[in-house]
Amino acid sequence: MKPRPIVGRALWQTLAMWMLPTLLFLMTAGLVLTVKSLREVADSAYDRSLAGAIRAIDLRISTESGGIGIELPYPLFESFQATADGEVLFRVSTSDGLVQIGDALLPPPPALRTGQIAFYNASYFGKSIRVGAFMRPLDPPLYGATEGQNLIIEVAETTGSREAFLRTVMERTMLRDMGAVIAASLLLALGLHAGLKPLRALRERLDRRSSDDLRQVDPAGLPREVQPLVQSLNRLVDRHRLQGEAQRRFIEDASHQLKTPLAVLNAQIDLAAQSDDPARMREILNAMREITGRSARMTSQLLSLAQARNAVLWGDGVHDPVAVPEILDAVVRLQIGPARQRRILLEVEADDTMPQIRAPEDMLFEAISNLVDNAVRASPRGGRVILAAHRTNAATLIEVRDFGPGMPPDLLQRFAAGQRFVSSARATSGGSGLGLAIVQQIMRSMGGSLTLANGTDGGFSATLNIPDQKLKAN
Amino acid sequence: MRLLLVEDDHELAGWLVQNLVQRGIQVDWADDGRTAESRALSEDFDVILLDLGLPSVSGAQLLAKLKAGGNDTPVLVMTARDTLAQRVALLRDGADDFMGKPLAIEELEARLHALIRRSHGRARGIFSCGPLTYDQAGQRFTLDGQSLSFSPREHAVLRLLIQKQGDPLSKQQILDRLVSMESDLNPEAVEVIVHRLRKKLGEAAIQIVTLRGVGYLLEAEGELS
Repeated sequence: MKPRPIVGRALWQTLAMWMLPTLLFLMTAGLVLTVKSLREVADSAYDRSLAGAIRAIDLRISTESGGIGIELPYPLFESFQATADGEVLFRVSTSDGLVQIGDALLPPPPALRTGQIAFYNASYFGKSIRVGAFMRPLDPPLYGATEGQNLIIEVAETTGSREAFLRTVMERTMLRDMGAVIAASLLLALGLHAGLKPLRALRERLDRRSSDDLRQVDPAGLPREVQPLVQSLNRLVDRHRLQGEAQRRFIEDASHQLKTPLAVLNAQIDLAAQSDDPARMREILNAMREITGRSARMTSQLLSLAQARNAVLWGDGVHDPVAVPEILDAVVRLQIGPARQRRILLEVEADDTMPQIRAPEDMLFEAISNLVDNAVRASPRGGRVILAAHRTNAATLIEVRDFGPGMPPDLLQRFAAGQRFVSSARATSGGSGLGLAIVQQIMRSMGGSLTLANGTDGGFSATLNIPDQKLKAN
Repeated sequence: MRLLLVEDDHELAGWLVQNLVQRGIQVDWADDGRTAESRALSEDFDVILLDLGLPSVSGAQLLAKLKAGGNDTPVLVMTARDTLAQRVALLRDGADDFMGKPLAIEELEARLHALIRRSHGRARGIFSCGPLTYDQAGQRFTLDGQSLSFSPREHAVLRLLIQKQGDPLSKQQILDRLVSMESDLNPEAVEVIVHRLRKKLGEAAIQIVTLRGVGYLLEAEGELS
């Protein structure tokens, strides 16, 4: 069982993660700014009516009697109070504090400049109030005053109504913003749903396909963003189909290879059935055994070839390090029996201290074993087969050398031209000629190569070139 | 010779039995792993001929069970899938020999006899290779019936070689096994010992083959191993 693949974050989560915090931030900032400017606007509007009240009081102040006389503008106050929806307070005083008319308990004003109205917030018995204050010189000064006096007029109102106004505005803004967020989320969900619809349709189309349907996926009608995906998918499908075809060709080749000996056997049986001579019969039977032996070997080689191909298809390319001299030693021990039957010497030339290489041990063993098998078959009785390994800059070379008759030049040329090996002239003495095809396939799976050459003074050498595996970053 | 054939394919089994019986071998046949197991444990066979692809209990499982249970009847495994990984697994599980299918009866017979000879010899402590015989109990070598005398080192090396027939022994392997005897041995000393052994074996139909880069192999002349 493979571990479950780690599923990436859902698309809507990613989008929401980016979108919602940004939206919320923008809306909060907008709200803060709105409230700030609204407060300013509200203050200036309300302050104007405070200023109006101050001027009305100011006009009604008389000092002709030597004291201060005020005729309070009650109708104004009433209408003012009605619009302000709260309490209205006032105080008229002199700057030296000798005269105070109105609410004496209003907090003292800050430093004022004559002729200008100042507005400020203050607190009156726990209630927050807005105060407008105006100062002007008294001319003439009051009776008994020793120096010039200033008159201060303060008008205050409770801020309940403007707070209520602000609250209403804030609530509405927040409601509107919340609505916008919800609408955006809905739009996001809808958009995702609609945007992914072609993908779902594509998936359904693929799911509905029969398992052997390797036609290309039609990209028509799919959004532009999905086109590259479809193209990749089609390339994959193509590779799959090519591999399937290769597989079918392989099976055809294989069944052809197996049919031929069966046909030979059939002919031999027919011949034997006609023969009355026991000696002739025995001769035919011996010939038949040779055929079965050869096809048995061929079958197992076909199996190896299929395995080597599978290794190319399914291998993950990550291997443990293996020691080449140890593999050579193991191959020799496996092949020593057949070799010694014909008194052939197997020799190894390898430095035990050579660095280990990263390669699929089974496959490498199979490749070398096939080369040695070929070499033993090609060697004359009492011959010699040498397995040698050495290093070059960034590769390991493994050579199997025999002192047999070598390979016909036209076959070598065909090999150099990159032709597939299906059968070869080395298929004599029981070989099917598939051995080299297996080795080639294995070398391809390892990114290496197989080089064949006849020796200058006779014999044959097959060399595996295995490049050092680059460490993959995965 | 009494043989237990474990093979589920009735056609192949039928022909194999006929062939083996014709060659004077007494054959009992079991067509599934469970029967084979109980028979192998309760009866006395000289050798078991085991097919790997069996229903219910696989051949490999059966082999592992038998060997784990200490049954020392030699087992020759017949296999259709003749891959390296399988060979390695079979040897690890204790198969004494294996042959790929289809098998030639003559080769099968030769191997069966060799297996039985080896297992009987091992049981009695007698190892032989062509004309050379080693009696473990008496610690004695005889060549063509003539007693041979060796120095302790020569004796030890030749004993290793005859006990490991068919498998080359490297100098290092020989040194590792002799190190308990002597500590001043080096690879050159092994060469000298082998040289002396060759001299003493002389013209007999047996030889110590040098496989350069691999090791030494004791081998009877004319023998098909």
